[in-house]
Amino acid sequence: MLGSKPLSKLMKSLLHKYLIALTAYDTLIIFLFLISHPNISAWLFDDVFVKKNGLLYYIDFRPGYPPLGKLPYLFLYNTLNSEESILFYHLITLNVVLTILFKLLKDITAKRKAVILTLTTAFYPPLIWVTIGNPHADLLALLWLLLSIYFIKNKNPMMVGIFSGLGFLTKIYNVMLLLPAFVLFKGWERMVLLSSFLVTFFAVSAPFLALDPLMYLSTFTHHSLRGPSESVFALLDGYFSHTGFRHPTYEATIYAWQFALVYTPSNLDHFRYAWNYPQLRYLSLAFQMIFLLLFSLMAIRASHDAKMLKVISLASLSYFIFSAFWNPILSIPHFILIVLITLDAKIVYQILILIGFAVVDSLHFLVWFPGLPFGVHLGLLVVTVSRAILTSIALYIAAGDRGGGS
Amino acid sequence: MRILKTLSVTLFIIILFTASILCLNLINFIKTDTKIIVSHTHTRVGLPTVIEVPNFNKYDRVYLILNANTPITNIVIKPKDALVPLPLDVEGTEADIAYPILMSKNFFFVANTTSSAQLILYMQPEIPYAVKDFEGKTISEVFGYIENDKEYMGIDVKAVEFSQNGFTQTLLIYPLNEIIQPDFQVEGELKLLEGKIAYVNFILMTDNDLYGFNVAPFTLKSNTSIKFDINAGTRELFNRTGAFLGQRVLFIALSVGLHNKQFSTNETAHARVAIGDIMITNHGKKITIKSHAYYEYDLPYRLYIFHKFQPTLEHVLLVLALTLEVFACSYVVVKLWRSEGG
Repeated sequence: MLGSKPLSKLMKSLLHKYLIALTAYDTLIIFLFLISHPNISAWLFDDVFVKKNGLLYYIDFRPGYPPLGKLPYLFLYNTLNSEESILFYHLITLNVVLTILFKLLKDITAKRKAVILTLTTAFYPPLIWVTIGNPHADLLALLWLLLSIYFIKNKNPMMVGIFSGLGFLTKIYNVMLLLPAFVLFKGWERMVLLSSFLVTFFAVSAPFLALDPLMYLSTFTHHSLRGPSESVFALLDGYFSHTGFRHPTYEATIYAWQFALVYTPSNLDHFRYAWNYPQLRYLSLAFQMIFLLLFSLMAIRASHDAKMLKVISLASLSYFIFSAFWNPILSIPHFILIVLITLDAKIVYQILILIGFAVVDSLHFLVWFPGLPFGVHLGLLVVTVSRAILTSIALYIAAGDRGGGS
Repeated sequence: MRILKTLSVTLFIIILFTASILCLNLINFIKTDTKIIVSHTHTRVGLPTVIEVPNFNKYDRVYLILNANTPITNIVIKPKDALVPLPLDVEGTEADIAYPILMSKNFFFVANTTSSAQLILYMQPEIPYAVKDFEGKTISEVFGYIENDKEYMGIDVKAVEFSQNGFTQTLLIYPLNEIIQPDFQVEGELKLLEGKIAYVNFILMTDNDLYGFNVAPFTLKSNTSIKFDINAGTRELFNRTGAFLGQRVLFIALSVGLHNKQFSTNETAHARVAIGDIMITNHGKKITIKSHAYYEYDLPYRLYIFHKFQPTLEHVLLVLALTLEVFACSYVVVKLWRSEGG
């Protein structure tokens, strides 16, 4: 009979404690999956379409995500075609995401704080929802984002280049980390950063570039036709609908500029949008670029790792805060960046603000469910304004060094 | 070290050179990758209407767009296998009621050969409404109908496939684009000529909401007329009253619903409904939708021939060269970095 001694020894080891916590967490996620029965397959309509019509992604058809964001789902749909397989893919990715986050936090703050923040992130409702029932690229994109930040902190330009490249090939926003990284690194490090990014890009993209470079490039460029959604900018422009390609799926078999020729831009069509106030678009872009550049430059003067991490996270956060485009899934990287920028705050304040974001982001998700007492207009107004207020509080906290970091 | 630096600069110049050739080739292709034909043709119901599709290459995409108020019975491709149609799918559903295509009927083909082709269309009469399936699948046929010197527009809806809730719902949509004021009123008349309906509803469509009102119940017997009058005080199907006031209503629609339990297995599940003129009052303005079916009309259409890039050996070699050059340059750069203690 095994005594209680080996078990207590096992529990004492941090790694083992972590593995036990992760197993318990995964069991909970699987349980939630089993009781909620989310209709994951409904999101895979483009995978169904390309399979039925003998089309190939990036050669005949431009999906909404770059290859690393889309192909894992196509592979799972074509081989296993089960919702459980997608759940397990998500769970593995999420476990790695939480592990990297914990490692990153443990390196720059107290272990207790790292544990509390990792747990808070793990129970953040949109993260659980995406893991259980939303087959989009966001979890994998988050992994590359965290790895890029981790290696910026560790001053390894090659790994930053590789992970930014993998991030860009999963979800485009990951490329923005190249700017603060480029500013931080010096001399040949910068060349290593850029060349490792390009090597990663070409290693994955070469087959698609050889067979139809225009369809492949359209995957990235068609986003420029899109309008705002679910953001302050969207509401100011009078767009109260959500994202999504509400067009015939076959229109993804033509290049982005060909698609643009078919439709006159309209303020009802998210994918061929005519802004009521075009200035808003440029304002959003200008704010994104100015603050990304500003925080990137500030990173040079960061005196220690924790501060550099905060400024790098602020640079990334600029993209999200001033983005004209938002949806409940985009709240996830935003939430994690909020965790990283508020590390200086006392843990109580930090947890309170994170709970505030969790409530607002969950409410945002619920806005789209029919039958709520408030309509879409009021619901979106409440969540976008609340998020703006919470973000301002988080930035206020981030602006001061209150010595709660360790 | 010096050799490595020279090599990295040389490789960088070669990369720029290869990338430039590649880009120039692609720009040259893009310049002529689309042919657009915006035209119209005279149509008479009962006779085929022919649209020529000139000079396409294999794998090119051919896109035909018609107005949805000129319903189509059938489309035939000549030669048969020259163009392969791709099925309609909007985020996993066959219903083409998404706003960007609400008032159009779209047909998409992939070229199976390098040649020319003809699209032979069998059209129905032109009516004021776009006809669209919202739930289930139906075959609709529109027609003109006169009774007591009064003109109606008719629609015969046959259920092909009921949705999971047992219904089919066919919409007759008309663009309105008005902000609804307190004096809003809709008056109209319809008649069930044959078959059975589950309902006929009147719908106001905003950018993200629907406001529905029942105008004919399932109890309506065939050969019976019913008049309807909807205003700001009329209670909606969702039990709201006046919730649409101040909203921008983009489209209005009449929806004809059928339910599978109303029909026995050997009975054709259908309803033949005649719709009279509809009068809308809003902000003192009066809009009349005249119910008339035109059997001979001018059919506007847009035809797009989108050329698809076909890789040549030169192109594949250029991409391969560019990839190898990037790899080589990166290898040299990493060596230089390592040699400087990286």
